Amino acid sequence: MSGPNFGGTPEQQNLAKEIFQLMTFQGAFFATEAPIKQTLTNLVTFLAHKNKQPADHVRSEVEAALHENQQIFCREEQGAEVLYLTTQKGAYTLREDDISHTFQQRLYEPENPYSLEDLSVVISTTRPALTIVEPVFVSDYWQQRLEQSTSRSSEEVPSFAGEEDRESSDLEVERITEAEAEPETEEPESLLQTSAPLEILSEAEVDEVKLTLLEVINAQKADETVTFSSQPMPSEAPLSEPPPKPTFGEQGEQGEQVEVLIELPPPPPPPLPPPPAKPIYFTLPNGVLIDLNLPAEDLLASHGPALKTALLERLDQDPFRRIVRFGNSLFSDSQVNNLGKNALRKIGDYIVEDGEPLTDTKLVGEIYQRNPRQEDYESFRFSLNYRLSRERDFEFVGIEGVCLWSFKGLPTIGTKRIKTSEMAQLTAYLMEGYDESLSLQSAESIQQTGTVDRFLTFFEWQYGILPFDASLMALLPQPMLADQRRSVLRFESPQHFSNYLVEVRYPTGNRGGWLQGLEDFFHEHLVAGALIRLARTEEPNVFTITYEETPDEEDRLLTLDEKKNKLTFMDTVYYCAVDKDQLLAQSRFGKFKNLKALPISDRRKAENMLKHVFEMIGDKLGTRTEPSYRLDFETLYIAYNVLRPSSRPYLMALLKDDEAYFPDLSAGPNLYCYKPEPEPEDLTTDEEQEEEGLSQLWGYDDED
Amino acid sequence: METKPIIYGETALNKLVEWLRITGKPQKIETVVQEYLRILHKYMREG
Repeated sequence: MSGPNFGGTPEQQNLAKEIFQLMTFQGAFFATEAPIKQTLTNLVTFLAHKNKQPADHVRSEVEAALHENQQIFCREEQGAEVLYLTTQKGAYTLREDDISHTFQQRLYEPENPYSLEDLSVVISTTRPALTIVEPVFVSDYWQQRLEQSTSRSSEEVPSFAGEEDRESSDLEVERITEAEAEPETEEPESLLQTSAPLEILSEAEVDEVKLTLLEVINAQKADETVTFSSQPMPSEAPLSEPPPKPTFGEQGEQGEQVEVLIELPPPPPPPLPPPPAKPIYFTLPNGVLIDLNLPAEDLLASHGPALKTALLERLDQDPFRRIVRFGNSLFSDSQVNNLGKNALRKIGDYIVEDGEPLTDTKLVGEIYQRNPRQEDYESFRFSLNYRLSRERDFEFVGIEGVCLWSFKGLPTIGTKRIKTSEMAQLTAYLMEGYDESLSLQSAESIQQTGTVDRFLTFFEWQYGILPFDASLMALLPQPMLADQRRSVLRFESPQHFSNYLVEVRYPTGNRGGWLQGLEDFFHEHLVAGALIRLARTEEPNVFTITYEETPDEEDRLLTLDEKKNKLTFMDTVYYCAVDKDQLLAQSRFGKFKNLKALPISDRRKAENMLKHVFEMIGDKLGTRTEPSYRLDFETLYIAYNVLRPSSRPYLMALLKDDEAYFPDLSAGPNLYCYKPEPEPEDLTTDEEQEEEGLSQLWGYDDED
Repeated sequence: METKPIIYGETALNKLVEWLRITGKPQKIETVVQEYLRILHKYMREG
């Protein structure tokens, strides 16, 4: 970079150059145009010390050299001190900011801006009111009349002036036409007679009138038309006349009476009370009429189920499926997250690996690492449930509040010895109205206390199955989805610190429901005839199963020998409270070992089982050819429940339906007899044998 | 003024969908029915 050119003698040039280098070195990091200041005293002190010359001599030389280079060194005096200014560029010029065109200036243009009030002329902060033309319903009758009268008036206008009689029912259109066609018609004396000559008042007069007018306005606030006149004001003010502008006029030939009519702009109308709500009705599919003017909360309280059902049905029929639902939750379809095949497979594998149905919260948390604090947690949980509900391999086995998902590879809960279809038929009697479970404990009581007490029958104990009767229906949760077939609950045993997965099979159509999965608990801790208690907990899907513990007792009790597949009595020690009448002890029910452990498919036929029980454990009466059997009803009930579940009303109905069963009142109150139809003698067999012998003897066939 | 017919579950359903979208999370059926009744009422009042 070339430096500036210095003037003066060579000595002065060298000195000026040295000072310039000294100062630019001092301000090496300054901007090129930033001033670098140094005092004369400092310069003299430095150079005198450096050159070892007297300070006065150096001072005069410095001043002379810098004076010769004024374009580079700017001299500035601050009191007694002398300063020299220069820049990296070599010439210092005082900085001048260009303020000829600033934003600040533009804000205040023009020089005298509008006052705040005047600004309102330019800028309106209010939106002009839009004129809304409300459609007015005019009946056909008046429309026809209007057309007729219009056509007639257009025809009659030329001769209208001479017509005196008019129908009072003519429309206003006719009256307007009349007014236009007959201007000379006498009207009541009105201040609005524009035919009279008008006199324009001077400004002073107008101001005076205005002041007076304001006083009158204050006195008569509501008047729309104010008239100043020496004459009394006509009773009928022509309010319908159009001129809105102030009119100052003089009436009378003498000019004595000055009438000033000013029509003020109409005052804003007082707020009208809200118009009575017009009824808005619609009808639900079930015929219920809904008035939309009622509050939504009231409508929901009175017609909630019908409104919900109707809306859900409509949403299901929506071809665009804009709103999707899972259980009682609805969501916009566009916001539902999608789950691909890989994600679904991952979820299925996770459930199978865990070995039991898993909740949606567990799946969302452990597979997708989402927690409830996240904003989209609920929407993602809904998406998961909704997507899984549409997959065939996943089955919803949860209840309201606990969404449990099962996968096709999971092991069966409960016994495998009874097929689902068979069990559904065995419990069908519950759907036929033979449920007696509420005879000792009402449904309200069960719902209130949250407990159900019941005695175990042999069938229930053997297979770990409880019929889903009315008492359990009152205790256990209902299915959450409309097409839900089963749900999985957890039963805890606080006495043994163990828990069991229980599958609830809900009734469908004429097939009954049941619970299964308590086989291990029953065999381990209870016997047939034991009293158990099922109770709710705070968790909607968790229940407790308890029994009353007693000192150990030993007896020979009925049991099923799995290897031989027959019923037998075995020495058993039990520790639970039992109903001695239902305890299947050999001492009392010794004949029960005669009952055959028939295949479950055979036990579905209730009539055959009844017959089997009578024949196996009933007292045999009659002859060999015409046998009959007698059995008391309570023993029949207990024995029948060894083979399949039933109720007393159901057994009673079976006895009454068949004439082969009849009460034996002569022997006792609850004794029933069964007399099977006598079997025909086996004559056919003898005849066949005889015929066969003859055919062999004579050598012919039956066909010959 | 002629009254528009109301088809429950169809009339103003777009507004219900929009409301659901704005809420950003699933809603219980009771809440949805209540909101839908309000939407219907407003829709009929405003014409």
